[in-house]
Amino acid sequence: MTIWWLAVIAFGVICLGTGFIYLALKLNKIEKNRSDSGNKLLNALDQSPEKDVEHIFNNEFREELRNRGRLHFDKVIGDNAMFLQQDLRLTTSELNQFMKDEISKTLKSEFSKYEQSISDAKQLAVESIQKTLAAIEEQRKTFTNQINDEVNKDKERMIARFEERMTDILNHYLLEAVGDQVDLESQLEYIINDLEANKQGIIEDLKNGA
Amino acid sequence: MEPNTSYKLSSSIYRKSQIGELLREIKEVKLNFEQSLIRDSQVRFDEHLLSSELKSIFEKNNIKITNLNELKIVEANLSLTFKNLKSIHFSFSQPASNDFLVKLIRYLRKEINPLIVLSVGLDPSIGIGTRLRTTNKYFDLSLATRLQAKRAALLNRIKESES
Repeated sequence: MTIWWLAVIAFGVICLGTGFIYLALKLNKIEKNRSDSGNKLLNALDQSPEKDVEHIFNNEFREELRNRGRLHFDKVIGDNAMFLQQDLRLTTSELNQFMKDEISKTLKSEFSKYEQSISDAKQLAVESIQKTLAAIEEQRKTFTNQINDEVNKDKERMIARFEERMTDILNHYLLEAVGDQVDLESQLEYIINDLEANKQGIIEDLKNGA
Repeated sequence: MEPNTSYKLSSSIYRKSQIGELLREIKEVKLNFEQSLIRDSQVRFDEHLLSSELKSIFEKNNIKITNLNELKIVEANLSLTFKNLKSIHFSFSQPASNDFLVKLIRYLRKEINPLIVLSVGLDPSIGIGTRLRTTNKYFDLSLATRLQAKRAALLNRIKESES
């Protein structure tokens, strides 16, 4: 049964395909005939407007059209000029704003750079001053130490000199103070005491001396 | 009168030059006495002709001249004394007076040697005290030297007072 059905379906499809092909060929022929008659009509139509155009678009009509066109053009130009002016104003204001913004931005940038450079210079100056102050402080300490050392050395030298020459100083002081009041008579006892202390040495030397 | 004896010297004679002068004087006296004896053998020695220094030595040593030999012995002894003199040089800061030197020579002759004579110099740097020089030694008895010797003690006192 199935085979029969399949055969019927195949026959139907073949019949449909044949019908389509016949219709296509017919339509093609009709189209061909219609195009030939159209061309002829179009040629006739093309020639008639040209004649009508020359008749309608005479010089007066053209002048009027030209005037209208001129007016329209003036109007368009005026409208566009207004728009152009508005655009120009807008553009100018935008340009001004842009310039202001740009200049402000550039100035801000330059100022910030300038401030940065000033700040750097200030920092450098402060560091330099601090270094100078530190150097001065160090030099001051060095000088102070040197001066202290010198003063101490001088003091020690003076003390040593005083200690070394103390007896001469005392003797000189005593002479200045009481020298004119102590004559040899009053020194006799002191001298005799000293001679007594050195008596043995004197006796020995006198005895043994050449 | 004993020969070869050194005489005691009076304290007014404390310089060697004085003994030299006395020696020259005794020689002159002896010469004059010899000449007088030639003229007159009975002549006596006149002590009044002697200088006060020579007289003081005669007195100190109990010398009595009766003849020329005694005078010669005195001359010889005085010459010997001159040779045996012990000289000490003293330096003082100011000129020493005669009284001072007499007192000093008395002490020296009594305590050290009876034949000591002095030579005296001036040294203002001494201040207080004296410096003396014997034949071989030098003794600095000035106050400066004494202070120098006591320097350590003085420094200690100063340091104690500072602390």
